[in-house]
Amino acid sequence: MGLISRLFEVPSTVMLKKGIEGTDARHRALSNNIANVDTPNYERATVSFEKELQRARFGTSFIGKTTDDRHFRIGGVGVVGEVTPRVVIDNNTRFRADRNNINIDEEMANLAENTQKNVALTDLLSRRYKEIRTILQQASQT
Amino acid sequence: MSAFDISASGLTAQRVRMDVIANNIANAQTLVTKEGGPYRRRSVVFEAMGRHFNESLTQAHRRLSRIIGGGVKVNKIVEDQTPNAFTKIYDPSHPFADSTGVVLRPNVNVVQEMVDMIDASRAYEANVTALNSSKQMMTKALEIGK
Repeated sequence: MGLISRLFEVPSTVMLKKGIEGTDARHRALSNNIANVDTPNYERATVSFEKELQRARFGTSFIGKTTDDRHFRIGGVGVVGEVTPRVVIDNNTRFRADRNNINIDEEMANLAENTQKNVALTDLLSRRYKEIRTILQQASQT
Repeated sequence: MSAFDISASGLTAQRVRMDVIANNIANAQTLVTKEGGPYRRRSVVFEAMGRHFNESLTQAHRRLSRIIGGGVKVNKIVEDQTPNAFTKIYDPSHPFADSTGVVLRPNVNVVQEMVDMIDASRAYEANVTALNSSKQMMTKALEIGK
């Protein structure tokens, strides 16, 4: 790994990028749920990525044994860069007469939380790049 | 399909719904229509859009947007065909009274229409909130590296 890529591709930066990617996908899912609040038979979509990221970064105590390179990896420390947001369609709950399972209060609360999370992650990533810029400027002065 | 497009489709759909409700209220006293008989109340039927490919995106994103879906659209506007729903008023002197002196009035319940309008208005606002969140996130993303 080169010096420059060692500055940019530290695990925490990759984690931030993946977090932004995940919250962006979740934002789209929440927007779509809100747009379809009055659509009969609509099933809400949820996005999960936090657990997957945590598992990839820090690993799990449960590790599946592999005897071949083509085997699926179960548990252990994964590759953070390979984590993609997972969309799950909730088709278990039904409580409305039009067979739509959106609870608008829940969606709006999740939207607010997810937006704040995305803004915070974007802010942190921005600070990270500022730090790198400072490092490079200091290096060129000495 | 971006989050902006998704929220915009929700705004459009709710606005159509409001138009239909306004039309119902405007015609709450209409006794004659082209189809004959008094006005029938109309309601909109929404349909979830998308869950299809977007060619310009990467494989992972393509898969995501297909599952998440791409907003909402008005599938159709249907007339309320509930039998015997027209209000019957006994008024033999009325020009539209039938042989028994009964006048049929539209099956529009103005109170119900007003409640539906509040619902549509709140749903519209929910989409506006989602749109504002998209804007906030986009603005922050543009500030990366500044």
